[in-house]
Amino acid sequence: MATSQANVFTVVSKFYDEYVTTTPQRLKIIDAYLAYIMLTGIFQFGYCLLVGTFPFNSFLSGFISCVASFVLGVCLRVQVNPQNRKDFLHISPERAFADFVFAHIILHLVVMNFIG
Amino acid sequence: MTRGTTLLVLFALTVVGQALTPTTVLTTVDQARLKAVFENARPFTDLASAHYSILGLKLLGAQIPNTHDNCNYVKSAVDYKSPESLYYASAATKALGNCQLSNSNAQNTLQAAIKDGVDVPTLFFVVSALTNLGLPVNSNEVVNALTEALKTDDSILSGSMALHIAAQLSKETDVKVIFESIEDLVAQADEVGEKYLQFEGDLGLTSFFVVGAYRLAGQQNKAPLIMEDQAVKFANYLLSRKHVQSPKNAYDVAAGLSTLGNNKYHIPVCITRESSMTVSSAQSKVQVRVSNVMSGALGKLTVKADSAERKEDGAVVLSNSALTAVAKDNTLYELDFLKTKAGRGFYTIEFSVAADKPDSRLIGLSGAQVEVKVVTTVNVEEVELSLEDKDQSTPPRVTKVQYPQKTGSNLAGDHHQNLVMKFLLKDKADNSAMEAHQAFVRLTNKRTKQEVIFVAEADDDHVYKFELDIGASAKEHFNSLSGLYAMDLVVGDALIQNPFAWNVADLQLKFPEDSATSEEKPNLYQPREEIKHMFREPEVRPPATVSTAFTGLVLLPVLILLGLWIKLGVNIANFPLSLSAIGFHIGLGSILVLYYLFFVQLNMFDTLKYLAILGTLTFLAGNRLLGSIANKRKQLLRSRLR
Repeated sequence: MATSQANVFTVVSKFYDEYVTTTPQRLKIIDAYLAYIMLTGIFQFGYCLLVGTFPFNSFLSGFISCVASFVLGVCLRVQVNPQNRKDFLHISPERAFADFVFAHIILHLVVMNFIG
Repeated sequence: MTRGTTLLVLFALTVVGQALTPTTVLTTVDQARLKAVFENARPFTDLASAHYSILGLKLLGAQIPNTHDNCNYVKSAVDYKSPESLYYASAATKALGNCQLSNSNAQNTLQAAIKDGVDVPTLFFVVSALTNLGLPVNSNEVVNALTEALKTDDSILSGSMALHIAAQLSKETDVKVIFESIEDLVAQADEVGEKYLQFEGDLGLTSFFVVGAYRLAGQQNKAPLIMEDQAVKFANYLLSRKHVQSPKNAYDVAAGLSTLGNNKYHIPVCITRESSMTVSSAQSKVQVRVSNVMSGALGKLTVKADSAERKEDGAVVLSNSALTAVAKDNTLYELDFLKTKAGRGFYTIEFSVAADKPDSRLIGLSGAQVEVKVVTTVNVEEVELSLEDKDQSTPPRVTKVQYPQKTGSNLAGDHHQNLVMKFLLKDKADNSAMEAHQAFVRLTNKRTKQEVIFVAEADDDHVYKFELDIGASAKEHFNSLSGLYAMDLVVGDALIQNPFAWNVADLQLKFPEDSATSEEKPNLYQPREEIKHMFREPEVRPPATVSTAFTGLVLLPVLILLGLWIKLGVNIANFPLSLSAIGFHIGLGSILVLYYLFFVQLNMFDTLKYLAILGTLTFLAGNRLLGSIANKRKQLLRSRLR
């Protein structure tokens, strides 16, 4: 069993090293943002589990805001990644960012409405 | 062969012999009610209701009030250009008597209306109006036009109208075809329950047909091809509709019935009970009214009661007894029923009528039935009360009571005893034992007034016995409430003249002391306790510290994010200080501020309004900014490639 544990550990550390070296800085910024969003979502969900669902609409609003922001962030990352340039020939990174901002504006309007 | 036909004829006769009779009659009360309907039609609102009201009152033999006003109304309401209006008006003026329409105007319209292709209703209005006004009618022209119109129109209404038209033409006109159509029209009538005959459930249509058929038959001096049974069924239908409210319907009822009350061919004879249904020694005579459908007299008649059958066991108590005429009223006949020595019970008496002077018009002469009930007085005898021990150790004490007295002293009963009461009901008339529909023993607690009622049952010899197991019934019936109870015997029946509730004795009952269900059952009829409304409790909220802690926890990732970004080396220094850049960032920031205001104060409409403005500005700024960044990147790329 020690060997499998060792295997998992080596895989993870190798992955981390490769990530730090090969990923461009822009993507790392977006990844940090995604991690932040995920943490926020986890904390909200944990509160709901521990304390209760009242007020339910607020919980839903906050949680869905996190989920949607995460999704939009992932979309931005995918579109901006130079390795995917072939798939997004007609969408420049600036255009992707503009879409990101626009979607967020609408998302936050809806979230503010629903949060009650 | 001949024997067969004789048998068939006899068979047919027996069937016909079970003749139908009218179910009821238009009494004087009904006629008064119809008169009231006619009188309430004034002040008149239209010519048609004026027409029906005036003709209706005349038909029922009532005085028409305010003749002059009626005449003026009719004269003002008539439309000389419409044959229908002239029909209503002319009939009304004819009924009123001294009222004149402008004949010349009328004549022009009416005679112009008989042209090629005229329809049956118009012909009816025209011919009737001309006849009412006393103007000449060209019978041949009318008959031809009518025959022509009937070829394309075979509705029952038009058929009936044809009868009325034909009845008003001159005697020489050949209306055989129309006369024979009566049979066809009757065949189209609908029978209901072997008692009623009507057309399409329409009172007006049925009445109109009946009046027309007998009118034409009278004019032609030939019997209409309507069977006696059918005539009676028509009468039954019209009688069933006698509770109508509008002038037109009331007129239809009155016209139809008065035709059947007085015509040359069929006059249904109605027999209805006039006396009360109860026959007792005080009033032993059964009175019936024998009349036509309009409660009118039929001349001297011999009325016989063919049979009187008791409902309970079918015993026939009389046959072939003649009734005597009552002196004051020439439609009333009476029979002393108790002369038959019939016992108590419900009886159906069947009558038959024969006219002293034979009148072939009278129909429904046999088969009329009337129901009476013979009541009697009841005596209660041989009443015995006893309290027996359940274990039969001591002989029971029997107390005899005589109606209507009460036992001298109170009886005392215990929970190990049975209370038994025996009694006998006797019919006073023939001293025979009888049973009553209701024989109850009622025990009332003298203090709380609560009652419990038991049923006494009779055995084969009609001896009633009531048994009460005091111990067993304590819980269920008495609520274990010991005390003084009044015991009443309650006897009643439809055939008893003197039902009674007799306090036989007072009982002191003692129940076992256990299970003191002494809580008085709450009186159902007193106000209940008030229900206080509970407002919705607010939801349970977590304590403030928990909420604050979690708020802090949720805001923590922001710090983590800033930390990570700083570690990654976010390029803040490269911030282009151009208008579009600043504008874009300020625009985004202002949108976030707007959202905060939306959360706190604004409504959606205002927010959208401001968002539109800020959004446009941000979009323009952002567009410029991102465009410039894109250009810079492209230039960099191009320079690198070179």
